[in-house]
Amino acid sequence: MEKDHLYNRFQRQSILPDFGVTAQQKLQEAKVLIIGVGGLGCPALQYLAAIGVGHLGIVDGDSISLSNLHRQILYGTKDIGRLKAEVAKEKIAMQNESILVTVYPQHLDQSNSFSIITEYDIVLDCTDNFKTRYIINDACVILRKPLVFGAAHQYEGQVAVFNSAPGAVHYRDLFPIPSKPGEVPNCEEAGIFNIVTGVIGNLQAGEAIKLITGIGQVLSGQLLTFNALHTSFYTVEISPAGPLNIPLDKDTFYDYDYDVFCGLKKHQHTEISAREFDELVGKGVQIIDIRNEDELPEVSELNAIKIPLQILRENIAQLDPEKKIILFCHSGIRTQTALDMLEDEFHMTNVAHLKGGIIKWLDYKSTTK
Amino acid sequence: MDITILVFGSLADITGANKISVTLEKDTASLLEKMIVMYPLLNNRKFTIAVDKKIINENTIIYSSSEIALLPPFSGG
Repeated sequence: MEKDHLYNRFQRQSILPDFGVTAQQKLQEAKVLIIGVGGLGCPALQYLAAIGVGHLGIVDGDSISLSNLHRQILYGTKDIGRLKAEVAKEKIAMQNESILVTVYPQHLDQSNSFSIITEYDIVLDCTDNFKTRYIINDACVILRKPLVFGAAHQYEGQVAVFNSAPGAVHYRDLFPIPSKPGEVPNCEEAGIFNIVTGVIGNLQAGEAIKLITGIGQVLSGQLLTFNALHTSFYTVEISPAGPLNIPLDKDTFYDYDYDVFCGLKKHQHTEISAREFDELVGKGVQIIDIRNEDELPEVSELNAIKIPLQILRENIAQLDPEKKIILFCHSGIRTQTALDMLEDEFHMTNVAHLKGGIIKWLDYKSTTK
Repeated sequence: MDITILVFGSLADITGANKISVTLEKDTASLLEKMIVMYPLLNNRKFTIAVDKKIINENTIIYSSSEIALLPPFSGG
């Protein structure tokens, strides 16, 4: 009876060429994690459940709001205010009660990502912000989990498959430097065409199904863009971006500051006190004077390289990446602007500034002699 | 001679169209330099460049037959 029931449920897909009982069995044994059950996650989850994936994990800490309903098609008006993950689980149980659904009603972050992701075979990134996307990517790289990425903007959407084989390209190869906050508008600010998240979420489900069953070709190492206004697809091949500033193991992952990386929090600039500075002069550090050309006092004994702040960006090549670099200005204010630039734009980590500026050091010299 | 550039996502708000024509330059670096002069706001955006449907990470020679695409990250879901 049970067997007949299963046979009937999946009959239309089991007669597909290359599909059959084997593919159905693989789906039944698969564990897929969907991170974010919004516009992308709703269709992805529904189709993965309907095709018979045996174990689905849902991560989402958000509650349903009225403005979600036009594209987050698992939810209705009466669900407003409830947790998306909980409602999604109930709806999936109505579709197919035999599927195991594990719910994580929380946002994915650095502290919970490893313990959640490690339980699954394949991860779907259906989130809506860059910080979480980089966290998911890095955790999947370290844990060697195939990652099906999806994202949307107005009438366009993107899909890619990362980490499908050892050494395969991933999100950081595609976008090594994150966009700054506000640079790329989200759905709330820019608007979103519901067809786009529907198509992209379905494509993500399709890639996961192909990864599980081995049928067809996976969009591995490629970025596909869908344009709903033109009804067109554009696919490009992703190349390795070279050395990346990516955490390579669990410990460095936990220490990594994703807020700083994504520009959500400013750097804590390394400050050098006048006394420390005095001890470091002449000991292999590179000293940069960012004051204007004619600014006094002259401090020739420091052998500093003069690069006024206004032209620092163009003269970045003069900064030695192998040495500790200390910047100074008159009173330690302009050097903070310079450090923001060196750290944000050039991702330099070997830079510090003289606290209180050159007047502080001259003051220190005069009191210690 | 002109070259066609496909512009994706919010970058098209800057260029005003998702397909633009620009005078051919010898390589991607000079093309980008020229585009930033034409559309200064591009300078504040992160995007990846594809030449003939392959993402490039270094300066690449281009021809009038090359198809250039500027692809920004999308964040929404």
